[in-house]
Amino acid sequence: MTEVHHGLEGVVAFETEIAEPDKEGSALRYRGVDIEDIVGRVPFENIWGLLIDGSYTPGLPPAEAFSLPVHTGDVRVDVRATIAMLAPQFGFGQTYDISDEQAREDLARVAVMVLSYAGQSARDLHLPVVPQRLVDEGSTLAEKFLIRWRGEADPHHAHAIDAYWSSAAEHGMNASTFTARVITSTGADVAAAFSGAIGAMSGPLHGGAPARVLTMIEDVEKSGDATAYVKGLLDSGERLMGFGHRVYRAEDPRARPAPYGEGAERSSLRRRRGPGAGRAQGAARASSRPRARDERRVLGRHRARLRRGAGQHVHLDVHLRPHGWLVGTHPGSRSAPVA
Amino acid sequence: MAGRHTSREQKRTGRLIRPSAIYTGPASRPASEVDGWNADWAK
Repeated sequence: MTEVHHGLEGVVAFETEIAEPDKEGSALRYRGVDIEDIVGRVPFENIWGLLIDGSYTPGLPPAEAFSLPVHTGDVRVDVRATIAMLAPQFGFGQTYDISDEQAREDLARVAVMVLSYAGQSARDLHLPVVPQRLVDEGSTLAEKFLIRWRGEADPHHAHAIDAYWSSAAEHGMNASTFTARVITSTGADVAAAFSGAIGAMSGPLHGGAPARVLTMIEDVEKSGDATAYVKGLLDSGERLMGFGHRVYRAEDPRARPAPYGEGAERSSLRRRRGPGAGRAQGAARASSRPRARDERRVLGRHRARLRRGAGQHVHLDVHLRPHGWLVGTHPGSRSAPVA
Repeated sequence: MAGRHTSREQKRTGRLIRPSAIYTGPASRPASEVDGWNADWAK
């Protein structure tokens, strides 16, 4: 009888040189560097370089001047849709046909466009688009992002967002990086991998979790009785979002070093919280607007997608296609792979 | 249209699909040992 690995749990499917979540040490290292030593110190664009190239330089360049062509009111949808549209606009080849160097260049162009599009999508539709000359005044990608979004960049907010991006930039294998690898393994272009990964990341069991944590925190505040709220939630069979992590049992290292904003002290309360809660709290510091949270959820993970895409490109001969098994009513069903 | 059916079937499992990876990169090292380090970042 063939054993079914539900959800591929426990299946080691990849080798990676990019990130190392250290369960025992409650640490996270990017190419051997503890994130605690670089988050909030090294600009995100240079940490991107570390992850992609193994060098802080040249890093991630500024975005090209493209206006967001879609406004649905949902940042995740806007970014997911428009990123896929970049493939013909930028003339991307399919990864099956291009060199690893070309794939790296394509990834950089797409990665930074995610930041640009998210900033544009988050901007109030009743406000005019921010002129590119103002965007160009931002000295970091975080500042440019804020300018695209709000027309200005408060240095504390820019620092908070930069730190958040860096701390959430990579975390080994997860659902969205797996998605990016699967798409890249088919030979599709990098924009397709990115778009699909953002779709995977939008779910509440993955990158969408912090949104539910924030809602929960707000509901607790409204009720004024956290114990009753939690008891009611659990009694009704609902999940308590943001508590516990499948990798880290004691402390999520991503919540520890991040100087998410001015006066963001490392409180013992924050350390005891789950990863979703810590990251949601950090994300909320720069703004409490729901759309802004969505925006950062999109941004907080997009780097991982592209790196997985790059990593996969190196092994294009491996087409990721696990098998499923028919368990329906067809006679002899358990012997028939239906992948 | 197959996606419609597989999505429904997957939803019923209630499971997140998430395989694992093993790290084969550089050993733990100081941030300053990576190429492109800027001394100003240490301040």
